[in-house]
Amino acid sequence: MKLKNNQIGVLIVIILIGGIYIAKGFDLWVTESDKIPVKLSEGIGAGSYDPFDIRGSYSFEEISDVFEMDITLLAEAFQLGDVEEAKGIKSKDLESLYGELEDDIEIGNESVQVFVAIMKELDISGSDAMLPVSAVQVLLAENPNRSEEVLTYLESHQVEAYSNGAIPEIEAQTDSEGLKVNGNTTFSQVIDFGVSKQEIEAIIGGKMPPENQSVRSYCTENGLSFSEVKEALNTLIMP
Amino acid sequence: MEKKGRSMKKKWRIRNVVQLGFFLLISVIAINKYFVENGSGSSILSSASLHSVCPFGGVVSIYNLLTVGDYVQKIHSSALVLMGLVFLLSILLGPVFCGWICPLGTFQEWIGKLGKRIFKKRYNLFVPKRLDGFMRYFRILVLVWVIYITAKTGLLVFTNVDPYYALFNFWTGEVAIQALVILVLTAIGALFVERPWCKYLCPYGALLGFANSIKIFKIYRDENTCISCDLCNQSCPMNIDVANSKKISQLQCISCFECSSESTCPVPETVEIKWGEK
Ligand code: SF4
Repeated sequence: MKLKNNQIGVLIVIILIGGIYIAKGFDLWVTESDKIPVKLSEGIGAGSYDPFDIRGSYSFEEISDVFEMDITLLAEAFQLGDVEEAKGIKSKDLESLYGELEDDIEIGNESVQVFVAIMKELDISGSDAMLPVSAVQVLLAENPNRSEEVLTYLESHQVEAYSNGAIPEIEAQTDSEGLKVNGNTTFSQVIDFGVSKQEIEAIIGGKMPPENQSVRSYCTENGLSFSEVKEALNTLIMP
Repeated sequence: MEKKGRSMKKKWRIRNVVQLGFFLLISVIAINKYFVENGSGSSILSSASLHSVCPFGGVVSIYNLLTVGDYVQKIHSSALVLMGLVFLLSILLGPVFCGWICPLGTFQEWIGKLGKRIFKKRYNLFVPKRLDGFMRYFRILVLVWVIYITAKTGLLVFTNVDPYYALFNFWTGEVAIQALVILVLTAIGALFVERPWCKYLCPYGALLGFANSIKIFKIYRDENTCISCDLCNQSCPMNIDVANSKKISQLQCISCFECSSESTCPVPETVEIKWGEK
Protein backbone atom coordinates (compact mmCIF):
# COMPACT_ATOMS: atom_id res chain seq x y z
CA MET A 1 0.00 0.00 0.00
CA LYS A 2 1.39 3.39 -1.03
CA LEU A 3 0.65 6.84 0.33
CA LYS A 4 0.77 10.16 -1.51
CA ASN A 5 1.66 13.49 0.07
CA ASN A 6 -1.86 14.87 -0.12
CA GLN A 7 -3.25 11.72 1.51
CA ILE A 8 -0.70 12.16 4.29
CA GLY A 9 -1.76 15.78 4.78
CA VAL A 10 -5.41 14.79 5.05
CA LEU A 11 -4.59 11.88 7.37
CA ILE A 12 -2.68 14.15 9.75
CA VAL A 13 -5.49 16.68 9.95
CA ILE A 14 -8.19 14.01 10.32
CA ILE A 15 -6.35 12.12 13.07
CA LEU A 16 -5.63 15.27 15.06
CA ILE A 17 -9.01 16.96 14.69
CA GLY A 18 -10.94 13.68 14.94
CA GLY A 19 -8.93 12.66 18.00
CA ILE A 20 -9.61 15.96 19.74
CA TYR A 21 -13.30 15.67 18.84
CA ILE A 22 -13.51 12.16 20.31
CA ALA A 23 -11.60 13.27 23.43
CA LYS A 24 -14.10 16.11 23.86
CA GLY A 25 -16.92 13.58 23.67
CA PHE A 26 -15.37 11.70 26.59
CA ASP A 27 -14.69 14.93 28.53
CA LEU A 28 -10.97 14.32 28.24
CA TRP A 29 -10.16 17.56 26.44
CA VAL A 30 -9.42 19.90 29.33
CA THR A 31 -7.23 22.90 28.57
CA GLU A 32 -7.59 24.86 31.80
CA SER A 33 -7.66 24.25 35.54
CA ASP A 34 -11.21 23.74 36.70
CA LYS A 35 -10.78 26.48 39.29
CA ILE A 36 -12.48 24.67 42.11
CA PRO A 37 -11.01 25.11 45.58
CA VAL A 38 -10.47 22.19 47.93
CA LYS A 39 -13.18 21.36 50.43
CA LEU A 40 -12.70 21.82 54.15
CA SER A 41 -12.09 18.43 55.71
CA GLU A 42 -12.90 19.33 59.32
CA GLY A 43 -14.12 22.04 61.69
CA ILE A 44 -16.85 24.60 61.05
CA GLY A 45 -18.13 24.25 57.52
CA ALA A 46 -16.51 20.84 56.89
CA GLY A 47 -17.48 19.79 53.38
CA SER A 48 -17.79 23.33 52.02
CA TYR A 49 -15.24 24.92 49.72
CA ASP A 50 -12.25 26.43 51.47
CA PRO A 51 -12.14 30.19 50.82
CA PHE A 52 -8.46 30.21 51.74
CA ASP A 53 -7.83 28.12 48.63
CA ILE A 54 -9.13 30.89 46.36
CA ARG A 55 -6.29 31.60 43.99
CA GLY A 56 -5.27 34.89 42.46
CA SER A 57 -6.19 33.57 39.03
CA TYR A 58 -9.88 33.16 39.94
CA SER A 59 -12.15 35.79 38.46
CA PHE A 60 -14.84 37.34 40.63
CA GLU A 61 -17.41 35.59 38.45
CA GLU A 62 -15.82 32.22 39.29
CA ILE A 63 -15.67 33.10 42.99
CA SER A 64 -19.30 34.15 42.93
CA ASP A 65 -20.30 30.87 41.20
CA VAL A 66 -18.28 28.53 43.41
CA PHE A 67 -19.24 30.17 46.71
CA GLU A 68 -22.78 30.97 45.59
CA MET A 69 -22.45 34.63 46.41
CA ASP A 70 -24.16 37.50 44.68
CA ILE A 71 -21.53 39.14 42.49
CA THR A 72 -23.00 42.59 43.19
CA LEU A 73 -21.86 42.16 46.81
CA LEU A 74 -18.32 41.35 45.69
CA ALA A 75 -18.34 44.27 43.27
CA GLU A 76 -19.56 46.62 45.97
CA ALA A 77 -17.18 45.31 48.61
CA PHE A 78 -14.09 45.70 46.43
CA GLN A 79 -15.30 48.68 44.36
CA LEU A 80 -15.11 46.86 41.07
CA GLY A 81 -17.49 49.02 39.05
CA ASP A 82 -20.57 47.45 37.51
CA VAL A 83 -21.31 43.74 37.62
CA GLU A 84 -20.24 43.09 34.02
CA GLU A 85 -16.89 44.69 34.65
CA ALA A 86 -16.43 42.85 37.95
CA LYS A 87 -17.01 39.44 36.36
CA GLY A 88 -13.77 39.50 34.37
CA ILE A 89 -11.54 40.94 37.10
CA LYS A 90 -9.27 38.42 38.80
CA SER A 91 -8.71 38.28 42.52
CA LYS A 92 -5.00 39.03 42.09
CA ASP A 93 -5.88 42.17 40.09
CA LEU A 94 -6.90 43.87 43.34
CA GLU A 95 -3.26 44.53 44.17
CA SER A 96 -2.93 46.73 41.10
CA LEU A 97 -6.41 48.21 41.45
CA TYR A 98 -5.67 49.41 44.97
CA GLY A 99 -2.02 50.20 44.34
CA GLU A 100 0.50 50.71 47.09
CA LEU A 101 -1.04 51.68 50.40
CA GLU A 102 0.69 53.17 53.43
CA ASP A 103 2.64 50.94 55.83
CA ASP A 104 2.99 48.19 53.20
CA ILE A 105 -0.70 47.38 53.57
CA GLU A 106 -2.02 45.36 50.65
CA ILE A 107 -5.51 44.67 49.34
CA GLY A 108 -5.26 41.50 47.28
CA ASN A 109 -6.23 37.86 46.97
CA GLU A 110 -5.96 37.28 50.73
CA SER A 111 -8.47 40.08 51.34
CA VAL A 112 -10.90 38.26 49.04
CA GLN A 113 -10.28 35.00 50.91
CA VAL A 114 -11.09 36.60 54.28
CA PHE A 115 -14.12 38.42 52.88
CA VAL A 116 -15.56 35.20 51.47
CA ALA A 117 -14.77 33.28 54.68
CA ILE A 118 -16.66 35.85 56.78
CA MET A 119 -19.56 35.94 54.33
CA LYS A 120 -19.83 32.16 54.54
CA GLU A 121 -19.35 32.28 58.32
CA LEU A 122 -16.27 30.09 58.22
CA ASP A 123 -13.24 30.09 60.46
CA ILE A 124 -10.87 33.03 59.93
CA SER A 125 -8.38 32.32 62.71
CA GLY A 126 -4.82 32.75 61.52
CA SER A 127 -5.76 35.35 58.89
CA ASP A 128 -4.22 38.76 58.86
CA ALA A 129 -5.37 40.27 55.57
CA MET A 130 -6.69 43.80 55.41
CA LEU A 131 -10.08 44.76 53.97
CA PRO A 132 -11.18 48.03 52.42
CA VAL A 133 -13.82 49.88 54.45
CA SER A 134 -16.32 49.20 51.66
CA ALA A 135 -15.92 45.43 52.22
CA VAL A 136 -16.38 45.81 55.97
CA GLN A 137 -19.57 47.82 55.35
CA VAL A 138 -20.96 45.11 53.06
CA LEU A 139 -20.18 42.42 55.64
CA LEU A 140 -21.91 44.34 58.42
CA ALA A 141 -24.87 45.31 56.25
CA GLU A 142 -25.38 41.65 55.30
CA ASN A 143 -25.25 40.52 58.92
CA PRO A 144 -24.90 43.07 61.71
CA ASN A 145 -24.80 40.30 64.32
CA ARG A 146 -21.39 38.85 63.48
CA SER A 147 -19.47 37.00 66.17
CA GLU A 148 -17.28 38.89 68.61
CA GLU A 149 -14.17 37.43 66.93
CA VAL A 150 -15.23 38.68 63.50
CA LEU A 151 -16.21 42.13 64.76
CA THR A 152 -12.82 42.51 66.46
CA TYR A 153 -11.11 41.37 63.26
CA LEU A 154 -13.05 43.83 61.12
CA GLU A 155 -12.31 46.62 63.56
CA SER A 156 -8.56 46.01 63.44
CA HIS A 157 -8.23 45.04 59.77
CA GLN A 158 -10.09 47.74 57.88
CA VAL A 159 -8.33 50.37 55.85
CA GLU A 160 -9.51 53.47 54.01
CA ALA A 161 -8.60 52.31 50.53
CA TYR A 162 -10.14 53.06 47.19
CA SER A 163 -9.89 51.14 43.98
CA ASN A 164 -8.48 53.27 41.17
CA GLY A 165 -10.94 51.56 38.85
CA ALA A 166 -8.35 50.79 36.18
CA ILE A 167 -8.19 47.14 35.17
CA PRO A 168 -4.49 46.36 35.37
CA GLU A 169 -2.20 45.43 32.56
CA ILE A 170 -1.03 41.85 32.45
CA GLU A 171 1.64 41.23 35.04
CA ALA A 172 5.08 40.04 34.12
CA GLN A 173 4.61 36.74 35.94
CA THR A 174 0.93 35.98 35.78
CA ASP A 175 1.04 32.70 37.60
CA SER A 176 3.34 33.67 40.35
CA GLU A 177 2.18 35.36 43.48
CA GLY A 178 5.67 35.91 44.77
CA LEU A 179 7.37 33.45 47.07
CA LYS A 180 4.18 32.06 48.55
CA VAL A 181 2.54 28.70 48.66
CA ASN A 182 -0.58 28.56 46.51
CA GLY A 183 -2.72 25.80 45.08
CA ASN A 184 -0.12 24.86 42.46
CA THR A 185 3.02 24.93 44.56
CA THR A 186 5.01 21.71 44.70
CA PHE A 187 7.20 20.60 47.60
CA SER A 188 10.28 21.16 45.43
CA GLN A 189 9.30 24.83 45.17
CA VAL A 190 8.74 25.06 48.91
CA ILE A 191 12.30 23.79 49.36
CA ASP A 192 13.51 26.32 46.79
CA PHE A 193 11.76 29.02 48.85
CA GLY A 194 14.11 28.12 51.71
CA VAL A 195 12.05 25.73 53.85
CA SER A 196 13.96 22.61 54.96
CA LYS A 197 12.66 19.07 54.60
CA GLN A 198 12.57 18.74 58.40
CA GLU A 199 10.41 21.86 58.68
CA ILE A 200 8.03 20.51 56.05
CA GLU A 201 7.83 17.17 57.85
CA ALA A 202 7.07 18.95 61.14
CA ILE A 203 4.23 20.91 59.52
CA ILE A 204 2.59 18.03 57.71
CA GLY A 205 3.26 15.62 60.60
CA GLY A 206 4.65 12.92 58.35
CA LYS A 207 7.51 11.84 56.13
CA MET A 208 8.63 14.14 53.33
CA PRO A 209 6.33 13.53 50.33
CA PRO A 210 7.68 13.25 46.77
CA GLU A 211 9.09 16.65 45.81
CA ASN A 212 7.13 16.69 42.55
CA GLN A 213 3.79 16.54 44.39
CA SER A 214 1.79 19.69 44.96
CA VAL A 215 1.16 20.69 48.56
CA ARG A 216 -2.53 20.88 47.86
CA SER A 217 -2.84 17.37 46.44
CA TYR A 218 -0.83 15.97 49.39
CA CYS A 219 -3.18 17.67 51.86
CA THR A 220 -6.26 16.41 50.03
CA GLU A 221 -4.87 12.86 49.96
CA ASN A 222 -3.97 12.87 53.65
CA GLY A 223 -7.00 14.68 55.05
CA LEU A 224 -4.98 17.74 56.11
CA SER A 225 -6.30 21.28 55.96
CA PHE A 226 -4.56 22.88 52.98
CA SER A 227 -5.10 26.40 54.29
CA GLU A 228 -3.46 25.54 57.62
CA VAL A 229 -0.48 23.83 56.00
CA LYS A 230 -0.17 26.70 53.52
CA GLU A 231 -0.25 29.29 56.30
CA ALA A 232 2.37 27.42 58.30
CA LEU A 233 4.67 27.11 55.27
CA ASN A 234 4.16 30.76 54.31
CA THR A 235 5.15 31.82 57.82
CA LEU A 236 8.48 30.05 57.31
CA ILE A 237 8.93 31.55 53.87
CA MET A 238 8.23 35.09 55.06
CA PRO A 239 9.01 35.23 58.79
CA MET B 1 9.78 17.90 -17.69
CA GLU B 2 7.54 20.95 -17.72
CA LYS B 3 4.72 18.77 -16.42
CA LYS B 4 6.92 17.35 -13.64
CA GLY B 5 7.94 20.88 -12.56
CA ARG B 6 4.31 21.97 -12.23
CA SER B 7 3.38 18.85 -10.34
CA MET B 8 6.30 19.20 -7.92
CA LYS B 9 5.27 22.75 -7.17
CA LYS B 10 1.69 21.73 -6.46
CA LYS B 11 2.64 18.84 -4.18
CA TRP B 12 5.23 20.86 -2.31
CA ARG B 13 2.42 23.19 -1.37
CA ILE B 14 0.42 20.54 0.50
CA ARG B 15 2.93 20.26 3.33
CA ASN B 16 3.34 24.03 3.29
CA VAL B 17 -0.38 24.55 3.68
CA VAL B 18 -0.58 22.13 6.60
CA GLN B 19 2.46 23.78 8.22
CA LEU B 20 1.05 27.27 7.70
CA GLY B 21 -2.32 26.16 9.08
CA PHE B 22 -0.81 24.86 12.32
CA PHE B 23 1.49 27.87 12.62
CA LEU B 24 -1.49 30.23 12.35
CA LEU B 25 -3.57 28.14 14.74
CA ILE B 26 -0.90 28.22 17.43
CA SER B 27 -0.32 31.96 16.85
CA VAL B 28 -4.03 32.65 17.25
CA ILE B 29 -4.21 30.56 20.45
CA ALA B 30 -1.19 32.36 21.93
CA ILE B 31 -2.48 35.83 21.00
CA ASN B 32 -5.99 35.04 22.23
CA LYS B 33 -4.62 33.83 25.55
CA TYR B 34 -2.81 37.14 25.94
CA PHE B 35 -6.00 39.10 25.27
CA VAL B 36 -8.09 36.87 27.55
CA GLU B 37 -5.67 37.63 30.37
CA ASN B 38 -6.15 41.30 29.63
CA GLY B 39 -9.90 41.04 29.90
CA SER B 40 -10.73 40.71 26.18
CA GLY B 41 -10.12 37.91 23.64
CA SER B 42 -12.48 35.47 21.99
CA SER B 43 -14.54 33.02 23.99
CA ILE B 44 -14.83 30.73 20.92
CA LEU B 45 -11.17 29.82 21.27
CA SER B 46 -11.38 29.54 25.08
CA SER B 47 -8.35 30.66 27.01
CA ALA B 48 -6.22 27.58 26.36
CA SER B 49 -2.56 28.22 26.98
CA LEU B 50 0.29 27.04 24.77
CA HIS B 51 1.19 24.49 27.43
CA SER B 52 -2.22 22.88 27.18
CA VAL B 53 -1.83 22.29 23.44
CA CYS B 54 1.77 21.05 23.51
CA PRO B 55 2.04 17.25 23.26
CA PHE B 56 5.48 17.33 24.89
CA GLY B 57 3.78 18.57 28.06
CA GLY B 58 1.98 15.23 28.13
CA VAL B 59 5.27 13.35 27.86
CA VAL B 60 6.90 15.15 30.77
CA SER B 61 3.76 14.73 32.89
CA ILE B 62 3.69 10.94 32.70
CA TYR B 63 6.05 10.38 35.63
CA ASN B 64 4.10 12.80 37.82
CA LEU B 65 0.82 11.18 36.91
CA LEU B 66 2.12 7.73 37.71
CA THR B 67 3.81 8.62 40.99
CA VAL B 68 1.66 11.33 42.60
CA GLY B 69 -1.42 11.37 40.38
CA ASP B 70 -0.96 15.03 39.45
CA TYR B 71 -0.21 16.78 36.19
CA VAL B 72 2.93 18.87 36.09
CA GLN B 73 2.10 22.52 36.78
CA LYS B 74 0.25 24.25 33.89
CA ILE B 75 -0.36 20.94 32.08
CA HIS B 76 -3.87 19.60 31.57
CA SER B 77 -5.38 16.48 30.04
CA SER B 78 -5.46 18.08 26.57
CA ALA B 79 -1.66 17.78 26.41
CA LEU B 80 -1.95 14.07 27.18
CA VAL B 81 -4.57 13.63 24.44
CA LEU B 82 -2.30 15.36 21.92
CA MET B 83 0.65 13.27 23.07
CA GLY B 84 -1.37 10.13 22.32
CA LEU B 85 -2.46 11.39 18.90
CA VAL B 86 1.08 12.38 17.96
CA PHE B 87 2.36 8.95 19.04
CA LEU B 88 -0.33 7.36 16.89
CA LEU B 89 0.71 9.48 13.88
CA SER B 90 4.36 8.66 14.54
CA ILE B 91 3.74 4.92 14.65
CA LEU B 92 1.86 5.23 11.39
CA LEU B 93 4.06 7.65 9.46
CA GLY B 94 7.14 8.49 11.55
CA PRO B 95 7.72 11.90 13.15
CA VAL B 96 5.28 13.81 10.92
CA PHE B 97 4.74 16.10 13.90
CA CYS B 98 8.23 17.49 13.24
CA GLY B 99 7.95 17.67 9.46
CA TRP B 100 4.36 18.82 9.08
CA ILE B 101 3.01 20.29 12.31
CA CYS B 102 5.59 21.77 14.69
CA PRO B 103 5.44 25.57 14.30
CA LEU B 104 9.03 25.98 15.48
CA GLY B 105 10.17 23.64 12.70
CA THR B 106 8.12 25.67 10.21
CA PHE B 107 9.64 28.90 11.53
CA GLN B 108 13.15 27.49 11.00
CA GLU B 109 12.25 26.32 7.49
CA TRP B 110 11.04 29.80 6.57
CA ILE B 111 14.33 31.30 7.72
CA GLY B 112 16.10 28.47 5.90
CA LYS B 113 14.53 29.60 2.63
CA LEU B 114 16.39 32.87 3.05
CA GLY B 115 19.58 30.96 3.89
CA LYS B 116 19.17 28.92 0.69
CA ARG B 117 18.90 32.10 -1.35
CA ILE B 118 22.02 33.50 0.21
CA PHE B 119 24.25 30.43 0.24
CA LYS B 120 22.70 28.43 -2.62
CA LYS B 121 24.20 24.89 -2.72
CA ARG B 122 26.47 25.52 0.26
CA TYR B 123 23.41 25.89 2.51
CA ASN B 124 22.98 23.19 5.14
CA LEU B 125 26.52 21.88 4.53
CA PHE B 126 28.52 24.16 6.81
CA VAL B 127 28.93 21.82 9.77
CA PRO B 128 31.73 19.26 9.28
CA LYS B 129 30.30 15.72 9.07
CA ARG B 130 32.04 14.34 12.17
CA LEU B 131 31.09 17.28 14.35
CA ASP B 132 27.54 17.14 13.00
CA GLY B 133 27.28 13.43 13.77
CA PHE B 134 28.57 14.01 17.30
CA MET B 135 26.27 16.95 17.99
CA ARG B 136 23.19 15.00 16.94
CA TYR B 137 23.42 13.04 20.20
CA PHE B 138 22.86 16.25 22.20
CA ARG B 139 19.12 16.15 21.78
CA ILE B 140 18.93 12.77 23.47
CA LEU B 141 20.83 14.22 26.43
CA VAL B 142 18.41 17.16 26.50
CA LEU B 143 15.49 14.70 26.50
CA VAL B 144 16.93 12.77 29.45
CA TRP B 145 17.63 16.02 31.35
CA VAL B 146 14.13 17.44 30.76
CA ILE B 147 12.38 14.26 31.83
CA TYR B 148 14.58 13.91 34.93
CA ILE B 149 14.26 17.51 36.09
CA THR B 150 10.49 17.66 35.44
CA ALA B 151 9.95 14.37 37.27
CA LYS B 152 12.01 15.60 40.22
CA THR B 153 10.37 18.99 40.64
CA GLY B 154 6.88 18.57 39.17
CA LEU B 155 7.46 21.88 37.37
CA LEU B 156 7.62 22.75 33.69
CA VAL B 157 11.29 23.71 33.94
CA PHE B 158 11.89 23.37 30.20
CA THR B 159 9.75 26.48 29.54
CA ASN B 160 12.67 28.59 30.74
CA VAL B 161 14.83 27.46 27.81
CA ASP B 162 12.14 26.56 25.28
CA PRO B 163 12.43 28.56 22.01
CA TYR B 164 8.95 27.36 20.96
CA TYR B 165 7.39 28.99 24.03
CA ALA B 166 9.55 32.08 23.46
CA LEU B 167 8.46 32.36 19.79
CA PHE B 168 4.78 32.52 20.70
CA ASN B 169 5.10 34.57 23.89
CA PHE B 170 7.97 36.99 23.33
CA TRP B 171 5.62 39.99 23.58
CA THR B 172 4.10 39.03 26.93
CA GLY B 173 7.06 39.67 29.21
CA GLU B 174 6.62 36.13 30.58
CA VAL B 175 9.50 34.57 28.66
CA ALA B 176 12.79 33.84 30.42
CA ILE B 177 15.73 35.65 28.90
CA GLN B 178 17.62 32.41 28.20
CA ALA B 179 14.68 31.11 26.13
CA LEU B 180 14.73 34.30 24.07
CA VAL B 181 18.49 33.97 23.56
CA ILE B 182 18.04 30.36 22.40
CA LEU B 183 15.27 31.45 20.02
CA VAL B 184 17.48 34.15 18.49
CA LEU B 185 20.42 31.73 18.18
CA THR B 186 18.11 29.16 16.55
CA ALA B 187 16.91 31.77 14.06
CA ILE B 188 20.46 32.83 13.22
CA GLY B 189 21.56 29.19 12.99
CA ALA B 190 18.71 28.42 10.58
CA LEU B 191 20.28 30.84 8.10
CA PHE B 192 23.20 28.41 7.77
CA VAL B 193 21.86 25.02 8.81
CA GLU B 194 18.38 23.62 8.12
CA ARG B 195 16.41 23.15 11.37
CA PRO B 196 19.32 23.50 13.82
CA TRP B 197 17.08 23.21 16.89
CA CYS B 198 15.48 20.00 15.57
CA LYS B 199 18.82 18.45 14.65
CA TYR B 200 20.82 19.17 17.76
CA LEU B 201 18.66 20.11 20.72
CA CYS B 202 14.95 19.30 20.46
CA PRO B 203 14.03 16.72 23.13
CA TYR B 204 10.66 15.97 21.58
CA GLY B 205 12.28 15.39 18.19
CA ALA B 206 14.70 12.98 19.90
CA LEU B 207 11.79 11.01 21.34
CA LEU B 208 9.68 10.97 18.18
CA GLY B 209 12.77 10.04 16.15
CA PHE B 210 12.64 6.57 17.66
CA ALA B 211 9.36 6.03 15.80
CA ASN B 212 11.43 5.81 12.60
CA SER B 213 12.46 2.29 13.53
CA ILE B 214 8.88 1.09 14.07
CA LYS B 215 6.74 3.22 11.75
CA ILE B 216 4.24 1.34 9.59
CA PHE B 217 4.57 3.41 6.41
CA LYS B 218 8.25 3.56 5.48
CA ILE B 219 10.20 5.36 2.78
CA TYR B 220 11.78 2.96 0.28
CA ARG B 221 14.25 3.77 -2.49
CA ASP B 222 14.17 1.45 -5.51
CA GLU B 223 17.79 0.78 -6.43
CA ASN B 224 16.80 -0.61 -9.84
CA THR B 225 15.27 2.62 -11.09
CA CYS B 226 17.46 5.09 -9.16
CA ILE B 227 19.64 7.20 -11.50
CA SER B 228 21.96 8.36 -8.67
CA CYS B 229 21.27 12.03 -9.33
CA ASP B 230 21.61 12.78 -5.60
CA LEU B 231 18.63 15.17 -5.62
CA CYS B 232 17.02 13.31 -2.70
CA ASN B 233 20.09 13.98 -0.55
CA GLN B 234 20.09 17.63 -1.50
CA SER B 235 16.42 17.99 -0.62
CA CYS B 236 16.69 16.35 2.79
CA PRO B 237 16.63 18.99 5.54
CA MET B 238 18.16 16.52 8.00
CA ASN B 239 21.12 15.59 5.73
CA ILE B 240 20.13 11.92 5.56
CA ASP B 241 21.90 9.84 2.93
CA VAL B 242 18.75 8.78 1.09
CA ALA B 243 20.67 8.10 -2.13
CA ASN B 244 22.54 5.22 -0.52
CA SER B 245 19.76 3.76 1.60
CA LYS B 246 17.20 1.19 0.57
CA LYS B 247 14.90 2.04 3.42
CA ILE B 248 14.86 5.25 5.49
CA SER B 249 14.77 4.36 9.15
CA GLN B 250 17.39 6.83 10.43
CA LEU B 251 16.31 8.35 13.76
CA GLN B 252 16.81 11.86 12.42
CA CYS B 253 14.23 11.59 9.63
CA ILE B 254 11.31 13.99 10.24
CA SER B 255 8.94 12.38 7.70
CA CYS B 256 8.70 15.51 5.60
CA PHE B 257 8.77 13.26 2.48
CA GLU B 258 10.67 15.91 0.53
CA CYS B 259 12.90 13.16 -0.86
CA SER B 260 10.00 11.22 -2.42
CA SER B 261 9.37 10.79 -6.13
CA GLU B 262 6.28 12.88 -5.65
CA SER B 263 8.29 15.83 -4.34
CA THR B 264 11.94 15.83 -5.46
CA CYS B 265 13.13 12.53 -6.96
CA PRO B 266 12.80 12.93 -10.77
CA VAL B 267 12.12 9.23 -11.43
CA PRO B 268 8.53 8.11 -10.76
CA GLU B 269 7.98 5.32 -8.21
CA THR B 270 11.59 5.33 -7.03
CA VAL B 271 11.41 6.96 -3.58
CA GLU B 272 8.02 6.07 -2.15
CA ILE B 273 6.07 5.85 1.11
CA LYS B 274 4.82 2.29 1.42
CA TRP B 275 3.42 -0.25 3.81
CA GLY B 276 4.01 -3.94 3.44
CA GLU B 277 6.01 -3.78 0.19
CA LYS B 278 9.75 -3.99 -0.23
S1 SF4 C 1 14.83 11.25 4.56
FE1 SF4 C 1 13.20 12.14 3.30
S2 SF4 C 1 11.43 12.19 4.69
FE2 SF4 C 1 13.22 11.89 6.00
S3 SF4 C 1 13.82 13.98 6.60
FE3 SF4 C 1 15.01 13.49 4.74
S4 SF4 C 1 13.77 14.30 3.06
FE4 SF4 C 1 12.42 14.23 4.87
